[in-house]
Amino acid sequence: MSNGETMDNTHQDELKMLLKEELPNTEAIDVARLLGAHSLRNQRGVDAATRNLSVHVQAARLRVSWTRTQTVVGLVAASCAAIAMFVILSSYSVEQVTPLTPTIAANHIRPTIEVPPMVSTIGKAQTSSVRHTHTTRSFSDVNAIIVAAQEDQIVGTIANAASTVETWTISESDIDIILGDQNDGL
Amino acid sequence: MRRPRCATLKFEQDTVTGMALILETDSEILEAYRAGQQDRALTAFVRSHQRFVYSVAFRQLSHVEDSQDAAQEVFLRASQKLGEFKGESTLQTWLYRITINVCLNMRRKRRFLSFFSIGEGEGERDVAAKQHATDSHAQQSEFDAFFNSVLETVPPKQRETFCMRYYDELLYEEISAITGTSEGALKANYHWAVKKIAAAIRTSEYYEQWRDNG
Repeated sequence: MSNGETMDNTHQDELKMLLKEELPNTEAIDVARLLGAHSLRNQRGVDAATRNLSVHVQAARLRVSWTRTQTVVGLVAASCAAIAMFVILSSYSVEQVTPLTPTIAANHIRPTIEVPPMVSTIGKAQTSSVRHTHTTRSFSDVNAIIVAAQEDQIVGTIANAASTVETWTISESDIDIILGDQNDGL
Repeated sequence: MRRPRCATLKFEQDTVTGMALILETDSEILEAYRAGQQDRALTAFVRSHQRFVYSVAFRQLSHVEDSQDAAQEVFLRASQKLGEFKGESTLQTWLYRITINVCLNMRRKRRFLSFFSIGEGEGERDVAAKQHATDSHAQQSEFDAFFNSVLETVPPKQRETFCMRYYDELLYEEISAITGTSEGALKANYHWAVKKIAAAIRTSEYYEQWRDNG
């Protein structure tokens, strides 16, 4: 496109020639002049509208470039953050929870042992309650307890027996009485 | 066409880079762009083609601000792909195609927005656009408005040929490269367009008044 002021004459000549085919000579020249003036005004309008276009394009280009850079930086930052989180989280050693295993093997479980009633009822309550709580004791312990309990029982029986024994003091009169009665009775 | 503004300077070369100081031709612009002088090359590129791009956009959109936006978008897209331009066609042909695509997109977008009544309606916008165009091109006279209305009556192909030939002052060869129409068909289109315009002008009241006023 040329400047309005330097319009290509070939275009004007061509237009005039075409107009002369359609219109009388003078009219053709008038119309060509009108069109020429119109073309100049049109070109001035275009010049005015595109005055700072190159500046706007450069600014828009920078804006687009900056936006693209921001997007790329944002994506990279987000990716780095995600990777960092993954690394941090994976570096924490989470204790593996092993399935619960019985602390006592099945063959080691022993049946509940009935403490003999004598053991539980005779003797000190404290001893009795202690005995009841130790249900996991082995047979040897229980036997020992039983033996101890029996010994306690024996000792207790003896003690009871001993406590019931009274010492009798027999006087002569009593003997006389006993004997007299016996004699009288004889 | 884009003649050198200063013929004496055109052939001066930068002593360091060996490139032209003033980028006039497409090859000089492309050479400078590929040599890393992107800002300089783009400025020259926009300046040498801005009238053409804006004119094409304005003929498509009939709205000054939309045409400016379209022209900016065209150059933005072109600048992103300028380095990949293979030179199979001229830059002007390439820009013409981009401009048509951008304008089609803008018209589509405008229609879409008007469908949902966002912004001005299509009809309102056209009226406003024409009014705005008339106001903006401040130096337009009554004849310009009348002539634009005459142009509207000319079939699109003939109108486009007339505009490219008369306003943009392109050669038939260049118009043929842009539109893909043969030069003979373009000449015929131009002839028919001029004939219709001349008849419309001659029979108009405006022409009689103009003649009476001398």
